[in-house]
Amino acid sequence: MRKFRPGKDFFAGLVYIAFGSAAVAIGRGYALGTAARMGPGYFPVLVGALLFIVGLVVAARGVFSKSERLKRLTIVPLATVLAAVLLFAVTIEQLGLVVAVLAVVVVGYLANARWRPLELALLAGVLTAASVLIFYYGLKLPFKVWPGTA
Amino acid sequence: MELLHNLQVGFGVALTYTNLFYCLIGVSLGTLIGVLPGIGPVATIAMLLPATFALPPVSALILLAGIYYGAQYGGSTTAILVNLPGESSSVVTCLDGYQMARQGRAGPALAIAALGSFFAGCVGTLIIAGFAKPLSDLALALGPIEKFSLMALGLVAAVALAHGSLVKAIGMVLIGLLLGTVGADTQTGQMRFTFGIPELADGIGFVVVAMGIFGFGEIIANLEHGEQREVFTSNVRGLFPRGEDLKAAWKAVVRGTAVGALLGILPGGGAVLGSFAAYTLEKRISKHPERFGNGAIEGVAAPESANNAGAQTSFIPLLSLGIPSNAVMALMVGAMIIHGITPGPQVMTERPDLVWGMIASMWIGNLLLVVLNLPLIRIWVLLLKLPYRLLFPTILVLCCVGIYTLNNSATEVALAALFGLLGYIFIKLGCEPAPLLLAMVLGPMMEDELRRGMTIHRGDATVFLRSPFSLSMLLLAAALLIAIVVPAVRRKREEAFQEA
Repeated sequence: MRKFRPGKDFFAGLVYIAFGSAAVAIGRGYALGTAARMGPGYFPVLVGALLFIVGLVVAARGVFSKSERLKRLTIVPLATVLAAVLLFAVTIEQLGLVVAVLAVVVVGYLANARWRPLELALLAGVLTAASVLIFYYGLKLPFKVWPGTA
Repeated sequence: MELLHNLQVGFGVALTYTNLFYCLIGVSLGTLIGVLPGIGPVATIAMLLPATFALPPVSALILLAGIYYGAQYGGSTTAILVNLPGESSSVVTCLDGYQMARQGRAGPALAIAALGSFFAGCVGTLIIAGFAKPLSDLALALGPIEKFSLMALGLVAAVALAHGSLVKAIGMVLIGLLLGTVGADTQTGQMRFTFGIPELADGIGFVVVAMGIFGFGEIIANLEHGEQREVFTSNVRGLFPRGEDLKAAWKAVVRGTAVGALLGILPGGGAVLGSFAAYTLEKRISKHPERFGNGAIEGVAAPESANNAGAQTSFIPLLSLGIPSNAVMALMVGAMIIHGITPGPQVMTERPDLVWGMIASMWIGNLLLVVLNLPLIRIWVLLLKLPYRLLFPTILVLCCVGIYTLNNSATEVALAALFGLLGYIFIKLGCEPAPLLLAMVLGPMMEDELRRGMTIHRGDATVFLRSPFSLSMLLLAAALLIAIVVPAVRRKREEAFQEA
């Protein structure tokens, strides 16, 4: 008996099972209806159940046959990119375009292994100026530009 | 002579200064992102959708279409000079293109890629012009049952043509269908999977999903890999292919165009598959297969012609049936809806200016690409020296601003971050995300047709087998699935994807 080491397939199966069972669990709360008069729950529950089964198959294949091992996750790029985007979401409405773009560039740049402060300053300046010029003045999209102003 | 009249209308629309301008912008942008590895047409089109709000619909669609086929041209430049596919459709071009560059023949390789693409683009445009109208007439006669089966075939094909495991691709389609159900149910108004978030009442915007998965998810994955590039710039001398090159290449161009055009029409098809198939075909029928991988010009000519032909003909299902055949076309559906056009066979008759204007613009765009690309190759090469550490913050900013301006909604930006995480997980687990996006766009249409059809036929599911059209679609889908599971075909398919 070889030792079971979960690989890509096993985890993919788990993700599918999670999505499928969530869809069935939540979808059952909506009216199912009949085949002739399908309610809002019919289609999601059907698809969710199928996904659950597919998930079982994928996971089982991951257990019983060799699947590629999962490569090591590196947290830094994941965390910085997501943090940059979330910061944009949080700042854009209250603090405006300039702050939001600066936040994205500076936090996103953290994902790089080496820091070049001058390069970062230059990049941030250029991207911020270009965003304001292109999106606010050029395309006339309704942005709040600076913190405080309307 | 209706065709000639239609083309005349089309060129009338496409040749106005405004539309020529947007066509030029589209193909230039397409080339740019094609040249740059790490950003593809899906993310770019998603990014630019909001910026096209202010344009007339025809101009917007001309611009967005240009990005897609322009990217096929640009992808080859990177493949040949850097041995990195600028686009996934240029993966096989690396094999022989890069070898040619190392032998100091980058010029002829680039030239033959561009000329082959141009030939394929012209043929592709003609095929669209010829087939779109008859197909849309056919589509108008289809009922809900038939439409459902047709879309089901499309999804099955997308699964069959996806890289990697078949079952995993089916799972991605099902997740996509579920994502498509989020929001208010069209018939009862019941809120589904909205978790009390008001922004989800209209459903999850597929731009949000596309940017999250294809934009953020890929950036994260790219950053993990780090980058090593070796650019062969000094060798771009003497662009023009020798006589013997042309003699060797022209048949490969014709064959590649045929293969690419055919595979592009298939639902689930597009540019990528055709390039693989064309390369395999050339290698198989060549008298000297050992030359392949060592700088055979046919190995550049065939896949580059095929991917451009496929990029063109994949517009056919969209224009004639209103059904997108791949992730890029799914975004085009979104673009049409944003501009108040409901995609479907009726568009052909209601908005001939739009459809034929777009078709004509594709031919003009292809011409612009050849004229622009050959002399400008040095500029594109310069861009290749732009390091990713500067590029990705720029992409991040464009993505964030793009999502936000779609509905002025910060919640959607946060939602896209969530899909970025999901996309990264999918990439890590070896789940190909393109079928998910397609299923998400087709899902609501399919559910609608299914419910309507079942109501008409009083819940009798056998009607799917009694309608001859529906039956043949389903049989075709079943045959496709069985064919892939059969070991011999499966080996071939893996081989084709492997050879990259």
